[in-house]
Amino acid sequence: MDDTQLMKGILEGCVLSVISRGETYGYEILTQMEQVGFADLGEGTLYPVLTRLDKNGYISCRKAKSPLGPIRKYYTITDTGKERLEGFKENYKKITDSTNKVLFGEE
Amino acid sequence: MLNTFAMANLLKGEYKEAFTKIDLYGGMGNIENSIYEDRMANLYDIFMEAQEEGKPVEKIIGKDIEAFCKEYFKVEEEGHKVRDFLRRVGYIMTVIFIYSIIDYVLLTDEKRPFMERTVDLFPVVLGLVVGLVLIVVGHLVNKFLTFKKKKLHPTLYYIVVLILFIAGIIGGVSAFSDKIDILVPLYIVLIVSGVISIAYILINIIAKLKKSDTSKKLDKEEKKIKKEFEEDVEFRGGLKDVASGMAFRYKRRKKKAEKKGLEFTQADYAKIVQKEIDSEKSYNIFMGVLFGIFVIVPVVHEFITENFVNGAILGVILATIEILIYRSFVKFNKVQNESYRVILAECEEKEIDVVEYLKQFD
Repeated sequence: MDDTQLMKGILEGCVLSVISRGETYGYEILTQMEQVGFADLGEGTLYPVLTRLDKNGYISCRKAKSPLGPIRKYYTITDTGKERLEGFKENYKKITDSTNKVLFGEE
Repeated sequence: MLNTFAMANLLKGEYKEAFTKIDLYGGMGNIENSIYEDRMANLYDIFMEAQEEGKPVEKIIGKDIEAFCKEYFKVEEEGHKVRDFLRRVGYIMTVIFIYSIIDYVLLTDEKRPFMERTVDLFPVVLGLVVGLVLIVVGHLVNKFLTFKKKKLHPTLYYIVVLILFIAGIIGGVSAFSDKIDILVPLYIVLIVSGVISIAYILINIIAKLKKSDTSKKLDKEEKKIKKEFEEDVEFRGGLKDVASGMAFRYKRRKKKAEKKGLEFTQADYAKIVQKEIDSEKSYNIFMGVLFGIFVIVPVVHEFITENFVNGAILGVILATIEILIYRSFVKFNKVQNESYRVILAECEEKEIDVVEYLKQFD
């Protein structure tokens, strides 16, 4: 697995986690991700992630009017998405635990 | 159809510039229309909010706009390329089908029996070749304009592409039309292109019918919201263009009046525009009659020369085209008059003229 693939997986998990907190939309996700440190995450990276999650049935999307006027896509997590998120959390924990042990000698 | 020019008009500064560049990349980038519209509507929403918060555009699209475009318009969906290919074949076959019917109708002096008649597919093939060459050349020019040049004039760019396309077709026809004929039996062309076109339409209808009631309902609601959004954007984004035209005419009239030593105010101009607004109904009737004549005259001519079948086919083709054009005329007229009303009302309320009004878009 190269860095891009690893990042892609992590991003999907994080975006799914943000959406699991309640119905949200593109700009809000971008801002929340930025606040926790994904400063370079632009819309060019986020939108394909959202499209992928939607196509795989992990999130559902509805279109509605936004307060500023434009048409806006609102995302909600689905039951399959919730399972996927739990799976991702478990896998991520396993990987980081093992990686930390190797890299930093943590027990 | 999404009016991205109007959307760009509603954005400001670096957001407007970035949106225009991304739009040009997407619009000329051989990208499926539904994907292009979906991405542009989403980007507009994000840009509007980011602009409102005063965030730099770089925070949204990064420093490399070319990399952003490539990533943003990428479609990873499985089977997308096959579907996209089939869609294009479907379109081409529909064009060939319509072209063959028109060719059949227009060549009324052809006396050969139907089964012996041929159709020359050279113009269609030429159109496809010129189109393909333009896509490749246009994409390269587009990349240069979008990513290397600082200032961009998309309207000029589209006009140049259109002129090149027409020039390519005219040049190709005059150079090769006497030398190359792609003659194919008419009935074969009609059967093949007709079957493929109808199959393509049926596949789309079946796909729609297969959808659940809930998703159909959602589709309907989404379509309604999309339509409202498009109309709203077109109207608000178009205000700048309408105001710009009004300001130009206002200044011209003012200048003329001043030359004669007369005074010309916003109130005088408002009266002239109001007259235009009031004539909307008569304008529509006049255009309706004019379009009706365009349909009736050629059809009557066919009937007089006793080509009843051709006359009927020609009537259907012309009526379809003319109705579509007429409807756009009426819609354009309605939107323009509504824009006039809004602009005049705002000018009156703020006690400014149209030239002052236009400045708010800078």
